Amino acid sequence: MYARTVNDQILTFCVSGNLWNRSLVMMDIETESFWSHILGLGKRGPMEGAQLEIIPAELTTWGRWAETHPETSVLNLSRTHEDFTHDFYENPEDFVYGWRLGAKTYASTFGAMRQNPSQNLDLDGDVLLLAFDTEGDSPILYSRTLDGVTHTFELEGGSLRDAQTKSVWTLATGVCIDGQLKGASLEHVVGIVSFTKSWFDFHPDTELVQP
Amino acid sequence: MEFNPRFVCSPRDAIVNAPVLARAEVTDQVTPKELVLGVVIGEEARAYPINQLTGPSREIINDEMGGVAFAATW
Repeated sequence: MYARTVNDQILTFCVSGNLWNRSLVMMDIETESFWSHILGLGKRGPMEGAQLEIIPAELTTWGRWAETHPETSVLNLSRTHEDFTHDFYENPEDFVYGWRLGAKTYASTFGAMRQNPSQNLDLDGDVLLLAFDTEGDSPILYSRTLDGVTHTFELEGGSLRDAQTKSVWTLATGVCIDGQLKGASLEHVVGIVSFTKSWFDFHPDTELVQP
Repeated sequence: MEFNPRFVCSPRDAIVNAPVLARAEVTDQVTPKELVLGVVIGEEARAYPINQLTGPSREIINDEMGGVAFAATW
């Protein structure tokens, strides 16, 4: 999910009809620049070198999304495919959830995240919670810092509990539902689901995060 | 990595103003086990079923919510 505003200009993207390393090349119709889909980076034309801002998005099942976001709307086009369902992740090592912090990239496989659905990470000072919603097979990355305080989370009966205040948080949305911090929200950090192979083609120096 | 795009098909028209449904209006347009990309912007949430985003004519949806222009892509 990318923001379409670049240097105060709103761009409209289409499929350019090209692939780069088996990955989609997008084109914006305003400047006819080519963009790498996986990198969000302008690669040719007036926008060469420009970086699209990533908007945090979650890949989950419709059932789980509708349950955790009851006010949601949904795209309504005809189906072009039938088999992108829960069973898509048949081989969990074929999929990773990846993210970037400064110059470094990190990833965790679906297999690793299923084994440990709540990982408190400290990556060179960036304190994150890598959560995995097993009901939707959906990874979510949160900052563990809230108002300058770093929290540590534990999974307890499908919800998260922080060690500092013992407040209860939803894993799927990062909202505190009970305890001293009730009403607070954890900040989402951008991560994306990718095929393991394409992720490592484009980010060969990725550090694998394992439980 | 050298940028060497390979032409594979004709360019496709940009998708703008794609139709959406409220959750309460959903019957069988999307089913509980189908994968969706979900996004929250401000107070609004929207889901993009992957089964509607596959194929070259569908991989990019130009959309807007809460004054933020964004592209849902697959």
